[in-house]
Amino acid sequence: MTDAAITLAGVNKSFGEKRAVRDLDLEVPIGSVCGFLGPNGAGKTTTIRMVMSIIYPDSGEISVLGRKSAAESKDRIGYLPEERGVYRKMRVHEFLTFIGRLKGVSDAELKVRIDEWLEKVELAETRKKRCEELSKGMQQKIQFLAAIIHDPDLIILDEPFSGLDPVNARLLRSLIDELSAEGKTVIFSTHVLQSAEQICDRVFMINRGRKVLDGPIDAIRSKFDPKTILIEPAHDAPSFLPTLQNMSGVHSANFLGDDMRLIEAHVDGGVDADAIMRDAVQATSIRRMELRRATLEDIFVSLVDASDSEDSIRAAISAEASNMEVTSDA
Amino acid sequence: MRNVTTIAIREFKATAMTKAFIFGALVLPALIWTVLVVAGAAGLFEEEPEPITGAIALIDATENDRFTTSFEQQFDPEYIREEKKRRMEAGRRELQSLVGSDSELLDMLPSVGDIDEAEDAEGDDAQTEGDDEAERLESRLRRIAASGFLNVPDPQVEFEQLDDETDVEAQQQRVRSGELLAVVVVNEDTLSATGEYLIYVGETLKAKFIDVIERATRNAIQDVRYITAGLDPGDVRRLTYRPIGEVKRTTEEGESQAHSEIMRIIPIFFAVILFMAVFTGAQYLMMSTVEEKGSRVMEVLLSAASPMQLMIGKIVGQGLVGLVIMVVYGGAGLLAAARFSQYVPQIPTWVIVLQIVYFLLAYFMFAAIFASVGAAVTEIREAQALQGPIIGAVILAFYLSIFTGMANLHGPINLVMSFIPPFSPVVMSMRISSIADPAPMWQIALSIVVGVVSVLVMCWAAAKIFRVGVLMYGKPPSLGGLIKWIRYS
Repeated sequence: MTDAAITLAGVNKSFGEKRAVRDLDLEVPIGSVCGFLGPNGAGKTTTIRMVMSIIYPDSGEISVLGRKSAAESKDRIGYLPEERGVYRKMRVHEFLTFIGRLKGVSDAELKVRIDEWLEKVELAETRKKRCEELSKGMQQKIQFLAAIIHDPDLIILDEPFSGLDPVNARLLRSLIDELSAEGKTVIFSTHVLQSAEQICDRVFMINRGRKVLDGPIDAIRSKFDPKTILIEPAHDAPSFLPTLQNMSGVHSANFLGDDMRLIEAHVDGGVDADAIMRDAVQATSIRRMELRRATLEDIFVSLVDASDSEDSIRAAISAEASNMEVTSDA
Repeated sequence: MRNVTTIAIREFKATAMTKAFIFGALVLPALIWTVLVVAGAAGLFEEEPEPITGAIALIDATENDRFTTSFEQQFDPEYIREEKKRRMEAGRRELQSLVGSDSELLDMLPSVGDIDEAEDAEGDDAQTEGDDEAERLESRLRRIAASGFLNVPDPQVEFEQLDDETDVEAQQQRVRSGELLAVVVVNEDTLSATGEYLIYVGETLKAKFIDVIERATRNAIQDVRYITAGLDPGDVRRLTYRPIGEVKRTTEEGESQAHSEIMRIIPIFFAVILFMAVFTGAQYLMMSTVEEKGSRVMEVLLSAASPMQLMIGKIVGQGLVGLVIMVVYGGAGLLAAARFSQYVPQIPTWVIVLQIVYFLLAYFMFAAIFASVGAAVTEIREAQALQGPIIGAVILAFYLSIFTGMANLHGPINLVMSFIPPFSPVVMSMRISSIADPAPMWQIALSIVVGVVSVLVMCWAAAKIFRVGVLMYGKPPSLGGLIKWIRYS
């Protein structure tokens, strides 16, 4: 077997006229934490559902944990769907026990694990409460527990951060770190790029059903060279701006903000940014200078050009409104 | 299998272990049952006769006031006792002439003299051998003798005989003031077959006293008619007493009781119970599917179980719910029949077994339909709109089957419906419970084959719809859309 947790090869999926996923190739190495990025309606959930064998591709191969489909290894996969819910009338521990049983965990084991995990997510006191009594954030933590209660090797989280407050988002990040440290493979889709940046060691991005980016996060960062330098001169920034603009290797420079203190300089391609920074220090006294690292957001926006993204967002919104109109024609 | 069981158990618990279900399905029938038994034992259903006290004015325009004489006798304990004695004596004589002189039966007949004691000391073990027969004869003779008399203990009624020409309006005033219980107006014409009597009573007179007065009036009129015709009222009452007997079916295996009323109810009883159980289960199935979709727990489940496992688990779980309903209500019905009816229906085991077979067939058919509906829609309201026509059609078929079945359970309409799913199991449930005259074996076999095949086909189609439907939100599909879903792999 390969050391890939998930492999997709030439996967296609259409809903009626709409091609949700096109010729997707993907490999998720075992033990990695992968961010799955893309604008709304890009095909993230469709891809994840295909990986989970909830829907099937029109063509292409999918292998999950060395098996032909997730259906054969469901007990080793933890899945938090985007469309998630709980049985409103069930009690928290009953719900988790039910899901755990479905995943083949023994009752004795479940008893221990449920209490342990509830403790961990600070919901021990909700054990006997009905799910409907919990707040949305609490329910989401319970849903997360339902996804991992059977100690899966592969964890797939669809938009795990949506609806969580910063404190709980941080808790979830630390839990993902912990799972990753245990050697589990974690994939999560998100459009909160910050959280992806903080915990992923790998990202892939799709747009309009096509893969546009795939690789370890460091490699991606270096590929998207830092091309921007932020400079805050100690004094008289307006007179420094023309100096900077005329420096060789600087493509353009402009003020950031109206107070005319912070300058943003864009570097020509292939030029060593360090040299420009050295020149700048020699030219004037500098209070602060920063080589801006490419954030995922920069990459995201550069890959998904504005009009494109707007289109798909608009499409996503209208699809949401008439909800799956497209698919019901299938 | 593990998943199917887990899902079935959850489904059953989530439905049956709720306060509402336990109350509705178990506690309520148990309560009603208890109340009936306790009240029955306490004699609450038997009305306590109450002594009637007061004055009744009679405006009797019949010749020789024959009505008045007869009417007053209705309230005269002494007269009634003597008359009963006389009538029993007559009955006894009649029996005697029938059985001849030597019969031992004669010894068992009650002596007429102790009629009062016999009335008080029922169940006294003074009887010798042949108890049952003697008791039966005696109670029958006594009942016949008492026929046509009011059962009013210790009546304290005064009678006021008024002149034929009395002003009725003035007497009504006395009734209104409470001075009189009633004014009874009869004339010669009343005694004819087409005549009518007239009774005035006050606003506050109890219904049971009105009843007593009216019955006394009727009895008196009848008695006068008999006497006028030269007949003895006692003889007439005895001779017109409703004959009783038995109807027995004679078959190769022997005789069986053919008590037609109970026998006629049994098939309908079974069909109603089956119908109730099937629809309870199927409807819960639909609601829980819609709920799983609505609360978006569906995809969580599908990550752990396949749609097929989920559907089967749910169908099985709710099937158990239906079975509970069937056993509880069916059992309660049979118990009630045993407790309150003198004829305990002897239902052969094979009928009970077939009832369960037909329940399962009917349930799986409707479960397939309702699971599809539940999976196809997003909101409970849409589900209700869709299930309306289904239930409507079934109820229509059901009534058609019952009403045509009343005349002939195995008539042409029922015969045809016996092989049309999903009506077949309900109709057959009825046709096999006609104990004395069940559907022929080949029809039972054919209906089961048709049932099994339809269950397989319907569940297969439902699985397809379920699979596509469970993750589909928004506008429910049209029928054409559903068929597309079935073809969509």
